[in-house]
Amino acid sequence: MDDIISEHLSQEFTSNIKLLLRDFLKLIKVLAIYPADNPLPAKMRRSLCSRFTEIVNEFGGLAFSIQPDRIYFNKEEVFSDRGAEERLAGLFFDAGIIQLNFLAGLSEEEIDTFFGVLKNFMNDMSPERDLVSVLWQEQLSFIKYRTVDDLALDEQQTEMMIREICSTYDEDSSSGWCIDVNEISLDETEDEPSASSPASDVTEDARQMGLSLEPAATDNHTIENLLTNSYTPVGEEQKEIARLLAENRNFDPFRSVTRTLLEILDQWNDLKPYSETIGICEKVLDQILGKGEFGAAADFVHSLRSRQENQPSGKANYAERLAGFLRRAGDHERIGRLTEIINTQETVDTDAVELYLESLGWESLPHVTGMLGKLVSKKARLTICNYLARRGVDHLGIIVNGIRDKRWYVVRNTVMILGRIGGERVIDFFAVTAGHSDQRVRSETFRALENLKSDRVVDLLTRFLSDDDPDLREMALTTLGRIGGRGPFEAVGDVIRSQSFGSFTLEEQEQYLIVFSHLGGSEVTDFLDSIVSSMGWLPSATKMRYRLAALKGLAYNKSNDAEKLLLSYTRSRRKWLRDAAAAALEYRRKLMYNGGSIRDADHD
Amino acid sequence: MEGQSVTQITTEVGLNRERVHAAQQMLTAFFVLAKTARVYETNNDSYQGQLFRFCELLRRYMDENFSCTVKVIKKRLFVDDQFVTVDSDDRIGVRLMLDRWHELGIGGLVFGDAVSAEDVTALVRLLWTFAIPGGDPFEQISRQLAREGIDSVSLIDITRLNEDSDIDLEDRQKIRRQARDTFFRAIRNVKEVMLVTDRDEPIVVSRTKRIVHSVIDQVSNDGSALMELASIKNFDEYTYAHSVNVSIYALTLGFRLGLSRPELSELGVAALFHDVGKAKLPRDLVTKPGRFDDFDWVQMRRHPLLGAITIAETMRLDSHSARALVAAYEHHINPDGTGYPTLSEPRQINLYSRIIAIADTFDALTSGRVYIKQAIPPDEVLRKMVYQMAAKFDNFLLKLFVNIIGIYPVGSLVLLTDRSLGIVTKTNPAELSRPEIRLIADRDGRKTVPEWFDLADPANRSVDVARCLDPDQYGINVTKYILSD
Repeated sequence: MDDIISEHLSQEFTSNIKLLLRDFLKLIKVLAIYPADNPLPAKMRRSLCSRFTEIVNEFGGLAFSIQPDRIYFNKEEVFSDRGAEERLAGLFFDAGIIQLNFLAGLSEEEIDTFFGVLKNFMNDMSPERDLVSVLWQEQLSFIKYRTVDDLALDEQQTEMMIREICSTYDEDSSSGWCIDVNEISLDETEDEPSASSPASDVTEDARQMGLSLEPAATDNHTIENLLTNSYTPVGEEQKEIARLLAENRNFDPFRSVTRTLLEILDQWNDLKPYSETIGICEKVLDQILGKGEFGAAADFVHSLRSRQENQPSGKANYAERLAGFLRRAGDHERIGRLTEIINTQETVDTDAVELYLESLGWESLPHVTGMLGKLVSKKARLTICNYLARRGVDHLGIIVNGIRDKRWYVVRNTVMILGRIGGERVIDFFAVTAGHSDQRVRSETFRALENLKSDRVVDLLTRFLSDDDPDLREMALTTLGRIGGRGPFEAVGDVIRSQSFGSFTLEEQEQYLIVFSHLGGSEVTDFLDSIVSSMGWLPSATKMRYRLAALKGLAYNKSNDAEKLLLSYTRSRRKWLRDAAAAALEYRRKLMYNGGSIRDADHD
Repeated sequence: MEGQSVTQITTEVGLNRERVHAAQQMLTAFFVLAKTARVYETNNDSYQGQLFRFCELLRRYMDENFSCTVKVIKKRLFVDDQFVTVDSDDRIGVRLMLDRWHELGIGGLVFGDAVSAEDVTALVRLLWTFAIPGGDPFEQISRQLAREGIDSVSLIDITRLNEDSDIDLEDRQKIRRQARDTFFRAIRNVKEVMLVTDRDEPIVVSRTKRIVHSVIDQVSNDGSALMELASIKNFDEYTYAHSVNVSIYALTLGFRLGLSRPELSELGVAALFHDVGKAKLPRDLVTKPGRFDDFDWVQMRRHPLLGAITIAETMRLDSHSARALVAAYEHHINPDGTGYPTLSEPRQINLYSRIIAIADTFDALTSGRVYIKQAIPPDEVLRKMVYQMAAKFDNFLLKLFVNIIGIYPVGSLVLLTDRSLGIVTKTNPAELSRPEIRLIADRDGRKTVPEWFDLADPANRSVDVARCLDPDQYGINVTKYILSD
């Protein structure tokens, strides 16, 4: 009967363990997703902590054996991983843990700490994450683990190692010895001086350190004078400890390593080790970049560049080695890796990225330009553009390679950079991109042209008046209207007179008329009058729209002819014309005397 | 859990379950009995029933386990060092009983194998009814128990439970064995790392970290066993043992300074690898027994630089390797910038480098393998470091270190004022001149079976340490004692 009951309890217990582990995994996944203060995971966590400790303490402890994808309890499988989303065994096994024990006495606080560790571990993507070290740091008293390293270490028999490492330990040259202790003085100062070892037995190094074979100051200067019986640092010494610890916490591992490597480089008077150290510098640089420490990487490269520039003439080979390093620092492969690293970062320190790029030579520019096509973060792309705009001023030939790229975004980015570079030199390239098949490229070209000051810009901008994209046409029209002058006037007029004008929307046609009138002054008043007065075959609604558009156009016309025409309309027999003209006049006067612009037409 | 196989642990936990259950039943019955005794007279049927049940459960428990010690530690109940919860709805009643124990200065009970129902009744009644007039309640209640002829149950003094130094012989031996395991595994690991670097292969740090963590755990609890091992100097391959010794001394100093566990981990690894550059030097130079000539020294002085390069080449860059690299490079540079390698520009020497410099010099001088080709007793080494070489070290750290090592460093052979001989096994921070020692020779100078002797114990105040002795002078192999339980 007892056996049946035991077996039943055992089966029930094992089922409970299985459920517990399933919930364990569920909790870890939830913890990894939800913010810490979310009530759902907090409640789950509390509940599981309570159940876990209850089971552990009731049973007197739980010991799990962990395989790559399975967990065992009492030699029975209680969990198996199902795919990447359900890896509990794998989580521990990959960290090297093969045995996990929860001991009786486990408290809810401790299991909660354990869950916290796992949560943080799962969110840490760095390659050097080490679950075992983190668990060790927490000093969990009732959660113990064993790793594959422990297993390997256990195989080392201490006794054998002692014999291997310390072969004399068994020797006792005076076995059964008996020393005449009465011959030994209780006061060491009474000892006869031993046969003095010649001073040459003290090495030069030791001598330089101040070491000598003479006894250190004795009697009045014994160690006891240094120490009180209950020595505890107090006052200033406590402050000193606090200062040392605080200073220690400011240790920058990357800059410390690079500074040391630079020191080492300065030590070599031989080219071979110097070259080898340069190779190590490259490797370290890659690792520093891999961790996203662009500032430290920039400092490192700058320091090496400075050394390269300041090498004495007799060390041309050394300078050449450094030059090679600097070239490779910005080569295609490294810049490609830099791009990947930036893409994996949640937040990009763009200032530091820019700092790093600044440390590279101009030879890196083509590769940096290539980054634009691969960077995911818009902020990062903007940073690269800013950088290229600055460096590209003296290396335009490299920058413009992107103009002919098949990828629209590369062309667009190149246009952005050229726009920032500015100057007459870049306009020719915009002539190419103004006709690009992708609207986004043309749009960027337009934006770049807007900011340039040159007659040639007007010619290019006028091209956009006949662009396929209505938004671009509108922007071009507004900009040309603002720029003013003969060129824009004629260009707008050409469009109005073209066949394609009829395919524009009425709103667009209105805009063209307004701008035309604004630019043309007295030259266009007859034309506008003809529209207002026309009795053509157009349906009355459309005719009316045109008439009203023409009247609006006259409102934007600064010439006296326009004023006269509007005044004449106010005396018309047609009421609609009188009213419209009056409104247009009023509006015109408001524009002329209150500083309205052609843009205001958009808001009417 | 350390040192146990997977099977052992699993079996142990399984067996535990039955034992825990039995202990729980027995303990629960005791508290129910105690509660009943508070309410009913001892001749009452209810009380008698509970008494019978408890005695039966106690007997059954002791049949399997041979003893029964109940202790209260940090408000948790332990039966024979096994944590047990009381399965009772009346938690307040249990709490009352434990509060009463606390009031009486009782930390626990020990049931002998001849305990009778009458003894139990007398005990339970006494626990509730004993009035505390003044003075030490524990002493008084213990005397009362003796007066009533109850010798099958004894009480545990609550103050004895809280004493950290109350370690029995078995615990001491266990600590020493663990220390030996850790120490020699560390030496083996350093050797493996050196061989790996000699072959220009990458260093995998995970095993080193596990070992360093073990060292830190032991240093945190009681580092004296490790310090004792660090005092052994007659290793065949000194370089490896030296690295481990430096790590132990450095971690002890770091622990004293208040470094956190992650920081100690970094320090420990850095100390273990501080001389890794020697793996790149000719082997016969490193192991040369005689004195070095000038050319030897030129080569030897390259080892910090080689060490830094080796670490940069073979270890993945992280906080551990960065610290190790810097320490390997700097540990022979003095705070004032002198030393070697010669610096091309001034730099602030890292804290870990300064700690390792002290530990490195201390071990080197006590071993007689490096600066002076003869071992110098540790107390003299400390004097030399303080009075001849002080400019070469961070003076504040040196002071802390001297304090840790003490007047009579662990591993020292000492002559007592009664002319017996002993080996220092543990310093006493509260009274540095009165360490714990292991006597190895009687006052006639005859070799004896080693026994522990704590000079800080009030019973031993009549004896002092007279001086340290050089074991080589008397042909005494201190190593053998240090390596024994």
